[in-house]
Amino acid sequence: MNSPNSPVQGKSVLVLGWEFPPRMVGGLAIATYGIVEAMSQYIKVHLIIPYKDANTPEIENVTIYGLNDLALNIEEKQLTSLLKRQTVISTFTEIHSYPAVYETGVEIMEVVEMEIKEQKIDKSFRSHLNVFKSEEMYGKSLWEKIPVYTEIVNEIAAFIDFDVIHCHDWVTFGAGKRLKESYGKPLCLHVHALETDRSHKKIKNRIYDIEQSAMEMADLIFPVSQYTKEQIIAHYGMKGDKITPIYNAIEEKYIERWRHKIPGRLVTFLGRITAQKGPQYLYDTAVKVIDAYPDVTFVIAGTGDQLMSLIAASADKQISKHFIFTGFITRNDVDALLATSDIYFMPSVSEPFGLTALEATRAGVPCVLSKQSGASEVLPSALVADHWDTDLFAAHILKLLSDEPFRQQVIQQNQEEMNRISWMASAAKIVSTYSIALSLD
Amino acid sequence: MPSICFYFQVHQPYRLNEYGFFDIGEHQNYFNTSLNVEILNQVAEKCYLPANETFFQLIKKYDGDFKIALSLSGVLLEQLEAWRPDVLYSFRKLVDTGCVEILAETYYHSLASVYSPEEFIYQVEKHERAVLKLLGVQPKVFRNTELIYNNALAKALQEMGYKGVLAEGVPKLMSTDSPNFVLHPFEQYDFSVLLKNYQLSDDIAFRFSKMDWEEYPLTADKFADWLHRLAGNSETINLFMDYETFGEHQWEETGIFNFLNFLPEKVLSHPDYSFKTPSEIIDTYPLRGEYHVPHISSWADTERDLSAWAGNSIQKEALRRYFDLGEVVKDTGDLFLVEAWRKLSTSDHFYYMSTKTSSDGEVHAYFSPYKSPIEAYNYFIAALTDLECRIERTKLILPSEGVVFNE
Repeated sequence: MNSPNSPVQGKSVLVLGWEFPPRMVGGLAIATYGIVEAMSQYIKVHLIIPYKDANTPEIENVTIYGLNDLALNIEEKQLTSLLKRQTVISTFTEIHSYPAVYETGVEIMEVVEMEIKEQKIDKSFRSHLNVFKSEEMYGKSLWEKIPVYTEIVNEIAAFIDFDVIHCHDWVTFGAGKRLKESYGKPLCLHVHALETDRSHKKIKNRIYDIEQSAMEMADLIFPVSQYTKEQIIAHYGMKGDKITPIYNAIEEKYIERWRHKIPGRLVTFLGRITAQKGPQYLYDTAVKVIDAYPDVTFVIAGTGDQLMSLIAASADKQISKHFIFTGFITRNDVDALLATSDIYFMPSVSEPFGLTALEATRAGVPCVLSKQSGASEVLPSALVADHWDTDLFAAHILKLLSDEPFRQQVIQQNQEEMNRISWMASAAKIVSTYSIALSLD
Repeated sequence: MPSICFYFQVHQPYRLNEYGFFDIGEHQNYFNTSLNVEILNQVAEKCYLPANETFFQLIKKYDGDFKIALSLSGVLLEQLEAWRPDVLYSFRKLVDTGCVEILAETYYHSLASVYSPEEFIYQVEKHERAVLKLLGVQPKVFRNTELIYNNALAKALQEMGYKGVLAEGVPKLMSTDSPNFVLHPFEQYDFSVLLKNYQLSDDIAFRFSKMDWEEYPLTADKFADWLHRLAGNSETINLFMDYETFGEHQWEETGIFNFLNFLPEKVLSHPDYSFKTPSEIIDTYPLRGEYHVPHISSWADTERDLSAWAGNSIQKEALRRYFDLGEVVKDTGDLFLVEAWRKLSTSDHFYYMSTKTSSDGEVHAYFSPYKSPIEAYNYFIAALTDLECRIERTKLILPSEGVVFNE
């Protein structure tokens, strides 16, 4: 229901999402859900996602459209009349499929290369729409899905009353641009991760181009951290005045601590084991810690293209005793792992937010974080270092291992800081930014 | 007067569960029993029972003129005893014909000969006891895990009372031109080494059903002809391979059993040819040269060395940690922990961690129950970590409490 005092009373937003519960590749689903649910307290939400089924949560004041539903329910005739004009779909080369944002225990997706081809949307459009019947969110057909998503969203929007467009991450940015062109409504981009985080700072590929051109056209940009705002200014050439950081939050949950039978202390890393997450810095830090404090085990949870070299490095140095590699870990096991960890360590090279740091905090684990992360902004008491500064990382971890009162103090301060953020507060900031910047009221 | 010496290896490991972080310290179910039973049943139906029946009939038919040798690992005997006593019985029936020699090996099909002489002797003796109990015979000739061999092993085996050993016939290591003679080990003149003729062995074991092989299809006629051509310059042609070749690696549909059925007749059609067991070969032929292996040879991969199990850093580290634990686990005096440790010694665990590519890599992957070498390593290391935790805990028990068994 709209709060009577809402600055956007009577308005509605068209949200374009990709991952949404129960389809979760990583944390994008959780973040999109958290934001949409909280926003619905202030504003009517129409949400278009690729995949919807009986397990998709129903939220009051939110109408959810799933493209797979359309694929199942719309007859050929209706479909062709819905799509009055012919449109060109292009598919591109050079895609590494889309990595998840907060991805704990997410299997690394394969690199997909497709030949450039152009296809007309015509009578065979239905077969294009069928790509949304698959449960796979990304994968090989991603570049086929994106243009279909764009076109069908554009058509559906004709039947929806909305005042503002709000897109979550680059996969939906093309559709956002199209909507702004077609309907003249203000465009907001929610940036959970940038291609410059996933690849490297100087990357200029197709995904970067999609992000950059959408940012040019956008009226508002909502990155998940001040850090990401700075990245957008530095690498995408945007001005700061249309960029408002919106922090992610985490739902409250009591998590019972337990003691693992592995003797000694556990330092945990959670996430994809790819260059972005700093596995080399993780390893170098671990070597320094183990040297000074042998009674420690590093639990490395997740998988990725750097996993083998990480395992091999620990084997070569004959310190494998200090490492446990869990491989793929389910979301349920994430809390259980954190609940028995003594320290959470996230040495990411570039981390737009880092929801796992909040999950760790919620589970009573103090965080040692890279300065190049959004999470370090919302947890100012966390111990931080530049991602390359393995001496300082090691010093932080050793301090926590050897000074239990200090460790308890960090946990307590981190938890107080975590309690200051919430999805409701983030949603309130979004709608007030809408209303001021877009003169909605 | 050349002889054909058939030896087949019969082995199935205890494959590991997807044992991981949350299992460590909680339970010791390291092994995937349902998978192991499933595979055992499958191999029993496709290979062990039909192959045993085939050999039994051939032995009956040729009335003492057709003979083979088998080596059954202890972990296989254990699994048969527990889950397929009918198959164990059919092996016993085969042995009782008197035409099947059973060879000695390590109970756990392990690499103990390479890393722990003391443990090696224990495992060989344990295997001997199991063979005597279940198959009713006392082995005289030794074959090591995957024909792993070196000079030092030959020496130790002679001291242990064996009269000979089987090895891979690596050309550069033997003083003769072919593996078709009985050799002696380096400076050890009263001990026999039987060398595998890998060319002819692999024609059956690997190439039999390969349609792109120029000799495809391999018939008993053709193969016997190849054997007969060696008449002038050979004394023993040693055909060593996995027993699972018959029906499992080469499916029944390939005609492998038909091939077997016709082979003895074709071989024996040459008046000079006979089938002999390894013991008979040793008793019949003089030592014609030296097999000198200062490092290690084996029948695995194209390298024919230890690299199938110790080729990369994760294998080496897993082996190091595994064998380092030996002393420590025995010191606990906890027999359950020691047995758990020993079951992890089976060479297959390390074989699955190989990261070799190309055709050797394909063979490793064919045998591996896991998705990747990383998984094989992680499950193994997790199980080892559990053992380490349990060993640590035994140290916390006061001496006055005496020896306490876990669980």
